[in-house]
Amino acid sequence: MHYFDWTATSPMGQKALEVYSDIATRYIGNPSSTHPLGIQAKECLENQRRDVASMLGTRPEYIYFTSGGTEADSIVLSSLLGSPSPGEIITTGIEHAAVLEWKKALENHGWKFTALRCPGGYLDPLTLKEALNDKVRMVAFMKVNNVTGTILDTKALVKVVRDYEKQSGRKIHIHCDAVQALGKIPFHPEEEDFDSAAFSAHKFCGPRGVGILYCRNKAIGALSRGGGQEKGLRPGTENLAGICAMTAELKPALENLKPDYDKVLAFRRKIQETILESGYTLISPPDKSEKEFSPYIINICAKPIPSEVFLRVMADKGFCLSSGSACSSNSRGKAESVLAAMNIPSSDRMSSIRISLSYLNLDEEVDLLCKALREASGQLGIRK
Amino acid sequence: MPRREYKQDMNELKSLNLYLIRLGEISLKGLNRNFFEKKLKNNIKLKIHPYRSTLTREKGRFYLYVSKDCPEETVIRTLKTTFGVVGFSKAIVCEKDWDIIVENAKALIENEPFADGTGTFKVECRRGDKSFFMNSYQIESQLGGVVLDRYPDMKVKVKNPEKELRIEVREQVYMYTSPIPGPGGLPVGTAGKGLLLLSGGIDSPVAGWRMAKRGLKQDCLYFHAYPYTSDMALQKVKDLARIIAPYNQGTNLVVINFTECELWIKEHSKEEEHTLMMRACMMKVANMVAKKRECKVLVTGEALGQVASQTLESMCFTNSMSEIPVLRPLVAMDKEEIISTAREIGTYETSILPYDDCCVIFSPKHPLVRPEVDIERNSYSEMKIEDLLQKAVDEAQEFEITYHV
Repeated sequence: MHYFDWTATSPMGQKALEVYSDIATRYIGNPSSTHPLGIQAKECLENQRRDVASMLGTRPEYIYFTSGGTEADSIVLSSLLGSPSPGEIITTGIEHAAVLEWKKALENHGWKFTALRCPGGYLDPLTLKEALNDKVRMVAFMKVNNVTGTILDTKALVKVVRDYEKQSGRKIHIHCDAVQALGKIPFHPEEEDFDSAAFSAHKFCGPRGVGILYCRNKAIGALSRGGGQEKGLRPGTENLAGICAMTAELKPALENLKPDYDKVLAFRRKIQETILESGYTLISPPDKSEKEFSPYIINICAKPIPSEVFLRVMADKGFCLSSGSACSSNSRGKAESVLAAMNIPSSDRMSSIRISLSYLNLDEEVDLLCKALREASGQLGIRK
Repeated sequence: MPRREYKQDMNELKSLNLYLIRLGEISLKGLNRNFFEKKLKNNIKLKIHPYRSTLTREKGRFYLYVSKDCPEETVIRTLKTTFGVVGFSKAIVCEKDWDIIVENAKALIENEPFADGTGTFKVECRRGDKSFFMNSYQIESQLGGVVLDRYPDMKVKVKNPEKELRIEVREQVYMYTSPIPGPGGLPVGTAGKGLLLLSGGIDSPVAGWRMAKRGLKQDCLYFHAYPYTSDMALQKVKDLARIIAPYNQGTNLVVINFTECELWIKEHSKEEEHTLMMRACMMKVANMVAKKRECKVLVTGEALGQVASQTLESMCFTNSMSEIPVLRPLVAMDKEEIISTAREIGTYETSILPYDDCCVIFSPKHPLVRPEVDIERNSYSEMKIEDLLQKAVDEAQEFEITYHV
């Protein structure tokens, strides 16, 4: 099988595997224990925190290790529930379920949950500006959309919020889901002036079950209750081996950001060419778009064939692709709702296919994929 | 009950469990009653196999003796899924000795439905052996006392009691409690054999079940259109066939690879006619399969007016494409009624799994609702699809679905 579903997850890298087994064998203590093995584990953990902080261009005290991107998002959003006077949270309709699924819980606690529409996959700063009001206490948006790969203009969006803060005199927390950004495009939470950001290790060949929350707002409270680890924000015995394995992969990912990006961009161009030649429609922005997009994700429309059927045909040809986001294929229609929030017509939504790439894909593989896409188009009668 | 049964000594009986089975309609049959009863006996015995069982008949009832190593659950499941059984109860057989009778009665009321010790009851006695030293009334009141001693909260009620303890004094004494309802109907196989068009939906398994209830044994036919329908959809149909198989004394599932035909229909007919043409082809294929497998009728889950292809006009057209009769047992049923039967027989949860049995690309946005038979028959012949249909029938796959409960 040829793997083109890297946005869903990536296999653990060799470095991660080696480091994992090494750390799990050598550092057996619980970082909270006071004996030498505990102290040794604690030192290792804090070294990791320092490394991650320096890689993200921030301070170690802002770095919290979590069980993944979903938990990092949830810690930030759930902390609103503890507020004595509910207000409003503004987010986008194209967020991952880790954010959108908080709607019900927050509304039950009296919060107003506003999910702004993002035509084409972009949030217009003006739309955000119009939506801001005195009740707003948090704004959350993603950096890279996981369904289409559009990159939101976060600098402009943050500026809109900060300007409003100055004018109203009230602090607004800005959270960014950067799960699909880290290790793929440059991302500096501090420079971008985010109050918090969520990351996940298994998107860049780290292990599953490990993630990072960058958070500089001390008012954010914990989701779980427990032994006070991670300064109480994420209690539970730290997954030391997993964290070390993650940093082992994050380092080369960030060091090789540019060459990897260029390689993937070349893949994307090749695929885009095939797609436009063989009757498919591009849902992701085209390569020559003025707006930004991540080359790692390319969303296409295989009209009139439903995604489900197209995926089966491609699977039989030996290719793993997905429709929408892997987390939402389990429950019908969620990826569709993300596309709906982008104003994609419903006939296109039901035929949407996501191809996601990695620098680890081989040239030949990409050629085979293009060939298979051409074949499938002929077989199934794909047309614009 | 034949003579040899009477001679069976008590030791042998002690190694067998006895169930009394009530027969409904069959016992009203005239000269062909034997045929129905023989079929029912066979159906029960086959399902209980490999456990040993004997069935005897007396006064419109079956006496089912099952070896003690057969779990009670198996017997109950068997009888609950065998058409022809109206009700059944576990019975105790003992000698005509009053102390032994009382002892056994005490044991019997420890079980359902008496076990909860509440509600109303009566004891009903039939004394076939008039030489027994107590009369029916005496036996009833004495045993009533036994029940009241054990369950002081229960009340005697002679008319419409909630629970009954029955005793029959004949060559031996038979005791049993109120019957567990069976599915009724006629023994499967007595009406011959049909072919059920089974989709993954809610209706067709219910249709098959209803026809089985009237004694029709059925094979199942499914149209698979991979990759337009998923293998999960096929698995769902196999699961549905497995759920209804015990009622049908097992079945064979014939799977037609219908992809080429569907694509041909899409290419060679007008969009609004797609569904009609598809159904026409299904009828043709079903006729070919039915002929091969010696099925005399087709059975479908159509209900009048449920969807565009189930209007009276559409039915007239699909009917005209079949040489053998098409039975539609659900034709006059509401969806709610169908769903409630589906829940009862246990197919509903499987039917609603989200694996579609037809791809949207083959479903027209605005299907023809009131087709004219002659025009559509003409459209059908213009498609010239016969060779493809024949090929699909020749390449059909077959799965045997056993009846073990």
